[in-house]
Amino acid sequence: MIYDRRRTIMKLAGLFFLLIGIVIMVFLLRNSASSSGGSLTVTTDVTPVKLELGDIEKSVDTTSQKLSAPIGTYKYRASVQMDGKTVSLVDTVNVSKDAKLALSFKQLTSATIVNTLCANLGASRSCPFSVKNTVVSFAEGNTWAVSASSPVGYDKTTTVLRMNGGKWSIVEGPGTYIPTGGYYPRSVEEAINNAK
Amino acid sequence: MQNKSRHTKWLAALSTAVVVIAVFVLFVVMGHGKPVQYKQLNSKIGSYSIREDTLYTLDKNGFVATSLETGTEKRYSLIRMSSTVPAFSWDGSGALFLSSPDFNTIDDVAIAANEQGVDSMRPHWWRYDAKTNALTVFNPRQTDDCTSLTEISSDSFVCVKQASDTVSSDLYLVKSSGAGAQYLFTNPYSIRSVYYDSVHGSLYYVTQRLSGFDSVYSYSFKNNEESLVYKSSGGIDGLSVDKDGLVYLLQKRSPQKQTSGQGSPSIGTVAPDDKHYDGQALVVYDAHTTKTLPLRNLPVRLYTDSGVSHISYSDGEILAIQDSKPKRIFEADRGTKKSPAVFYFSHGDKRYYIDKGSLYVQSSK
Repeated sequence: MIYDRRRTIMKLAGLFFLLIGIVIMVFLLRNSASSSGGSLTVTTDVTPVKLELGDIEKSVDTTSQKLSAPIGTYKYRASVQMDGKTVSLVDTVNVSKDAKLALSFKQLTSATIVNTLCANLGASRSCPFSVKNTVVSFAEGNTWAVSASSPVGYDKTTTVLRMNGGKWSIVEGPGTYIPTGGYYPRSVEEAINNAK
Repeated sequence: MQNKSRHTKWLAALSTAVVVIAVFVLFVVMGHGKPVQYKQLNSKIGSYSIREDTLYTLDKNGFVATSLETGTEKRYSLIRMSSTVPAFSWDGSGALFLSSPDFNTIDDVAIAANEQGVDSMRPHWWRYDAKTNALTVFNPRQTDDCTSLTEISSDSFVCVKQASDTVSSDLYLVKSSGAGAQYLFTNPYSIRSVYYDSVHGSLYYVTQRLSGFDSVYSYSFKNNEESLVYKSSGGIDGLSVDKDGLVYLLQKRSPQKQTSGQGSPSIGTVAPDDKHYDGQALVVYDAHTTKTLPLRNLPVRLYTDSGVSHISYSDGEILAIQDSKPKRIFEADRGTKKSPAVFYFSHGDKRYYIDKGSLYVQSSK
């Protein structure tokens, strides 16, 4: 009788410790899943991309690629080779279990700027600007652009553009003289002065 | 009877031991002498630069040289200054400083800017010639965008500019003669501070990685080579190179709170309490290996005196580092409480401190 009671107590105690063990394991697994195991789907219009997430370095070789990284907030730098130079996008991204990051590099090409300049002239006129006669410099983390165009038969013109909601809009120009002296951020003014 | 006598002897011995221990504890707790006395030398210190045995300062009325040996002051010609001075250094012939204009007051820097045809509403680097008292804007076309300008010879300076991606840094060699700037190289990260080791001709700089943590690099002008010295898992708040070329780094636990192992820090600053200094360490680099030594949980700085690197705590303790081993040369100061920003330093056998814009020298031990 006493022997049976002891066995029952032992069984109950074993069950109790087993339950505690399961609870601890679930807690640890959940915890580790929340501190790592993040997923980031990167879409890009130019490949390959060298993507730096904090101290982690990844390569994006297709236009849509799923990457794994510990969950957290990262400052990132995405770099590609375009127009014969390195173009980088810098921002922050929250990596969660199903995070997304869209990279748009084509906005940072001379062709996009020329298209914006031409669209500004309207469809009724032929566009004197082309990639061949336009030099573009980007400033302030690629949020400003200054273009210098030398179309045949026209004077050299400068245009100042600013990125608004993912699209370029013209702030000043095209004009043969763009005044500086504190109107724009310093790096933009430097680009305007270099374009003159 | 004999037992009682023995008992009394034991009691007397025990009482004596207790009294001796109590006196010793009291001696340690209360200190063993009078607090250290200090004498005020200068009371209007703005930006300052210590060169050999002189402290050069820039206040609202211009430049002042205070001899650390004698305490005598030499004031250079009156220059009314209301601009902010984020960077200031003194070389053999005068000062180099970055001036950020005060938009409410027209000071002598703004007048000089207008006279020299540069925008007085923008920051510029300036040279002050101690012999002629001339204030000249320093090569503005090449230096206006320099976040730091470090002298490497009497006519050559290294300029750090933020690259167009806003993260990388471009380094240029700028000549005081006004010749074109020479591009040196680009570091992939943002350079926070620069130090030039004139004895060995090497440039050291602290960069902040995308993760928010710091790395230290060196650049050799002889080999035209950049190399990674130390990759920190925290912040680097001080750098010093001694005459033997040993590099000492002041590593803070972490610049900000980490969200995950490699993730970038959350936005916000940490209050300067004791915990902020918990885990800070001195990193010693000897061109091949790094060694880490723990430091106390107090605000701490590094400085060099006569080619020897020193650790200075905000409580006044100063340690000279010889053969990569810190040796205490001044004990903590038990006098009146100073601000956390106090800077204690030694020159020769004297201890000084700068606190709330005043310079003091120790007048008694």
